[in-house]
Amino acid sequence: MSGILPFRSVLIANRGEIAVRILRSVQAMGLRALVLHHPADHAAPATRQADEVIEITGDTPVAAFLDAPQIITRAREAAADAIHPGYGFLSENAAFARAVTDSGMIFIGPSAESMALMGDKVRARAFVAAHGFPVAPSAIEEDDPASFVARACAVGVPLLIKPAAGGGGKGMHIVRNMDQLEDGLAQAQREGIRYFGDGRLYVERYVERPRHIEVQVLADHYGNVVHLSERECTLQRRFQKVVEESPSPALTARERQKICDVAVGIARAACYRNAGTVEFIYGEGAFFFLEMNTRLQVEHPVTEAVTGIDLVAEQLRIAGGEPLGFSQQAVNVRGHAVEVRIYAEDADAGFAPCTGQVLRWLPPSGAGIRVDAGIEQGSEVSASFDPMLAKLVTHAQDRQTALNLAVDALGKTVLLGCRSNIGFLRRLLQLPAVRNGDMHTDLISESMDALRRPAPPAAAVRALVGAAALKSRGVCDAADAVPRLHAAMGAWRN
Amino acid sequence: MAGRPDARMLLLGDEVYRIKLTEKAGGVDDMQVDEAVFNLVIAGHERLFFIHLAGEVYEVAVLDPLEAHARAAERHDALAAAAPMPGTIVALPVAIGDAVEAGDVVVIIESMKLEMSLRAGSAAIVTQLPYEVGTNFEKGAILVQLATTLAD
Repeated sequence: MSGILPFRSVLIANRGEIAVRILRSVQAMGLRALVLHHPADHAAPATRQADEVIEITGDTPVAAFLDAPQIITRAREAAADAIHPGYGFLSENAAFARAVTDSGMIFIGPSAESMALMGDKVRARAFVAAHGFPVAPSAIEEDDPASFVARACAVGVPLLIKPAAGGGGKGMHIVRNMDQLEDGLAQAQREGIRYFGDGRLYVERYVERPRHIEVQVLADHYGNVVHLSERECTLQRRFQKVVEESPSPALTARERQKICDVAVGIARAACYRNAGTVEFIYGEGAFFFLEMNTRLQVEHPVTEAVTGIDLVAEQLRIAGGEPLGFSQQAVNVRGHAVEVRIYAEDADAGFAPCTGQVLRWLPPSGAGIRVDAGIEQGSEVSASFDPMLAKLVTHAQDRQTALNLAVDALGKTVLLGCRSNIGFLRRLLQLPAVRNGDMHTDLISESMDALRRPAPPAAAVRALVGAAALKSRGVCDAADAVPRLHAAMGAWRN
Repeated sequence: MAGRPDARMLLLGDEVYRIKLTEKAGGVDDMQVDEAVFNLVIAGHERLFFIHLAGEVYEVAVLDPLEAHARAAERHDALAAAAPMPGTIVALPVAIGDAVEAGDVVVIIESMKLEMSLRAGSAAIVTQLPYEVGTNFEKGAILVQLATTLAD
């Protein structure tokens, strides 16, 4: 059991499903949960469950959630003792973490120094390489701009050009033929300036058909660092994760041990504390450090499912100065967990975000099923925020059972009023390559023909048209209005 | 769609189906089409319904008969009531020279053993009635010709 934490109230500087998730652990530990709210967020479940709701304003809702001075002022006015940033928004902003600490509150996360180190992808990479951990062969422009092209050539093809200040896949280019190198560099530089205000680049060896594997770590203030095993997040669309699972079906026991040891070593070298995730690219039996995320991850529930450890509760205890309550030996992985992200998007239309009012939301439930949702019936899904609405997590004794449970649960998940990727996810989890664990980061884009929604069978069309006709007052009235045998008829479009 | 509230019929393509929707607690309704029963969840507004059926969500748009007729008429002839399918004239509630308002029934037809009425898309005057009651027509036939003034 935990001792007495040095804070009684926690401001959750986030929204949506992650605000609900953090709130649950905050309240379960007997602490007061304060939640930020912008007027654009209608029917946000976190605000209904919060002990106190703090209104914030801004030109746009996102601007309000990024407004560090306003959030800190409001937090102090409400006498918050600590701030949990969630993910996204200010969660990896070292200046925000420092400002929170400077104003006398506790920041639930790593030190500002760790965040600054890992936030600079070029510095982080150099740091990891200097400590002897594996990074992909690379060339960094600012080491010596004059020789950059020559050094990039020496890395060899295929190579990946990345903006030094980048993230989210923007400005990245794959070069498979050296003739394309200079054009690619020029284009990446323009994009780096446009997206990040920073044209510095680096190149690294590109792993073809790679997998994305990451390791969850927890570290306290006393030098104790443990890993909570790995997650595989290979299934992505537009450089964003769609499905995550733990354990990874790709790793042998030896590889798993090695990658987890490397992650712990990196966290230890960086004097890291709190929860963090070390991401790797894995392919052809080798893995390379990609980056370290200095926050709670979207996909943390798969780790919670297989380890039984509440990551948010651990974050709170660590931030409160408690030593880790368990050793590495005490961390056991049981069974297999799969998470799918439910996005408000039209998968068949290039994953374009969709908006609408949630008219019906019936999440699945049952043994081995967890749903973390940021919506409820009546919520307005607007273009103001990220299109991720909810996460469905299943946990079972083995991978096939967990996948089957997820397919079944997705089939029972009802979300009406706003288009979502639920049907797409169901088809994705049934792809043979996914069932066999034979995945790579381009699998979704290469499999779109099989992932598109098929036309409904004729019997289903009759049920659909019939149901809409019977529910439509206008159609029923028209049918009833025509005297006696004379009936009216509607026209239909599916 | 046609029929009494307790026994609706749906005409789709060339087939007629008996349809019934039984609302159930928990929001999952039973949709009966002849002998087949489908479990579905439906929500929506008058014009657009979202239906969850067998793990997929479908959007079904309802086109108002007047609007649909007006639209169809616009595409072909702004002032003609064309037959949506082959059938027989059951009744002609208007005569040449009559003034009609938008929504007035101008002809009642029977197709596939189902009766339906065609309505005027806008205020107009009836100028031609090419078919008499009891005669047959083909799909697309102009059953009632309207004009905005008699001079047209």
